[in-house]
Amino acid sequence: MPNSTDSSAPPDRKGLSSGALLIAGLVIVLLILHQDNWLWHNDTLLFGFMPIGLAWHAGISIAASFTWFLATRVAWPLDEEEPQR
Amino acid sequence: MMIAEMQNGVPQFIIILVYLSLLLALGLFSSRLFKGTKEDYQVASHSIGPFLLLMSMFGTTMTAFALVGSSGEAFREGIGVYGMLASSSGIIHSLCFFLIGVKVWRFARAHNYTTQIEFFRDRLNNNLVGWLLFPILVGMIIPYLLVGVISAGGVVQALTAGLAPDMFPVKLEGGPGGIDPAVHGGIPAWLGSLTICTVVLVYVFFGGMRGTTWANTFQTLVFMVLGVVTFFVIANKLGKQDGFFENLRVLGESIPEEGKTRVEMSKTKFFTYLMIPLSVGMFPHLFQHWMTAKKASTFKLSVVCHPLFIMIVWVPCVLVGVWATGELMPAKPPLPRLPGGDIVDANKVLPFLVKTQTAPILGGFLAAGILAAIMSSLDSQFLCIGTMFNNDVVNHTFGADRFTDKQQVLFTRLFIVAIVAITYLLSLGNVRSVFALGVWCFSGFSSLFPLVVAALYWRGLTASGAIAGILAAITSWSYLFYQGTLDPQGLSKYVLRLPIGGESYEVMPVVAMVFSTLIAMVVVSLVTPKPPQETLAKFFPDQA
Repeated sequence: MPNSTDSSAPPDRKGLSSGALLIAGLVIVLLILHQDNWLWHNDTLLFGFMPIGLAWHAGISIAASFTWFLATRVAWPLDEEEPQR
Repeated sequence: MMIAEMQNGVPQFIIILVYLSLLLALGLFSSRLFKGTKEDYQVASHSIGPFLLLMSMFGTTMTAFALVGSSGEAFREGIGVYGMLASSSGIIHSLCFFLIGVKVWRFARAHNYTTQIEFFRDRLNNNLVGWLLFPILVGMIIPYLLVGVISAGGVVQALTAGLAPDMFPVKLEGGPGGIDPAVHGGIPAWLGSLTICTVVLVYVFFGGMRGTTWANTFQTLVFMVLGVVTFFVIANKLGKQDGFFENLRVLGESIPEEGKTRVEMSKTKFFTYLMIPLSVGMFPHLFQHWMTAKKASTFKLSVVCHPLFIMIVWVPCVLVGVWATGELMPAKPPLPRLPGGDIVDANKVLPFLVKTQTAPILGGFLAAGILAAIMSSLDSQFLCIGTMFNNDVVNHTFGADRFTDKQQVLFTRLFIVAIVAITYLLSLGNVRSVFALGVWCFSGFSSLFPLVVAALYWRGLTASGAIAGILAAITSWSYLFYQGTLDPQGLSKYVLRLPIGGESYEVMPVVAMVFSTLIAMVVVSLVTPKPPQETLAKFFPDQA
């Protein structure tokens, strides 16, 4: 069983790293792009079948996945793989 | 005609039965690996790897709300529903896994927590927080369970329509022959819901968290694959052209203006919908899934793939929903109506299309896929409420050593049965919109989001501040819900109107709830005594 002493939880990396700042910036950009007022009344069908508003937001999903992939590479919050036992 | 109808319903019925039997077998098999301990029953002995965690967390968050609700809401509101909940969830859910999930996993493994309430009680050094949170969390899980239970009954009824018209007739004034052909002769919703609840209960009973995780993984694979197959089949059937892309093209062109744009959607309402997915940070059942992770790095696959998986499930559902509003949608048989009126029952749009646009055997498999999505959420929710009762009420009151592990597993199971019974009885009422029910439920969890963030990242949070925040959350939720019931447009359309510069802007009620919690929590924390130094040192070792 894990112990329960005060020091048992592994420490975080101190402060915000440049990686964490990059991810924070990308998330803010994603949230801004999410509010796509410029496509609100646009009824274009992308590739002839996909309403452009839906295609844009599918693109946001792909971009979010890429951002979180980057996060796991440059801003993962834990140093340790497992807590002390 | 009657014979043909009966034959039509039989394959779906048999396939659903076989699928449910497979799930029961999986639950019973996983029970053979059950170690008999409380820890194994509740968190699978913290042994779950990246793939199983991804599939079980995704299956848990994608419920009837995602399949049945998304296609139904796209039918009503158009493609904007994807941005309102799917792409926003891709950003926010993974953010919650990343900022909250990994951090609480670290504390939970170090200090042996299984439930949120154990974490909050320890972090705030206060018991009252737990006694306040328990009824609130259970009370908000019940409507979430209702979403699944109601949808399950509706899906089973729509997809087995024609099975036994004499036994299960559904009359409809003005319908062809005085019946509602969309559901006539199908297994009644009350019986379908009861069967689904029973099956999930059995495999949760025997398999615990391990069985739930395996069943979730299996069911997530089933509903993702069959969801894509459904999309192809319905597209080809509705489009009636030679090639798949040609079908997509004609179907795209058939969507009315309001379906393929957001001309009727408020921009501020769309923006404030961003707060709904914050609910994931406070879902107790997701918290329990986080605890099953073997290592911190186990979370990485979920963080990355969750937005893509949402897209794979939601884009086809939204397209199918808006296609159903177009001119290529056959007029006969008519879409199912809500009882006593001429309004289309949007909850039944997807199962109706599966039933009428696919061959019976494929329709049966697709029915299993929809049920898979529903059950993969119900199981985790069932397990978590039982776990909370045992850990946060029984153990907390009588002491963790008062009862054996076997007795504690029994308490967990008994409470699950009680809550499922209550939920089932509530499901027999007339709930019109799965989507509205889901949104109000998620809003409640979102309103508590500031609490978990402050507990993890703010040393200044005090027990009094947390209690004030919780009270503000539940008070604002109750008040706004009451106002919603008084609104002529009903709960599903209820919004706040913010007057700025002579204009009125629509805002989702969740915004008021989140800010009520935040303000109450921060203000009271600033004027009340700080937590003991040893508590702060335990949770903020770097800043001690």
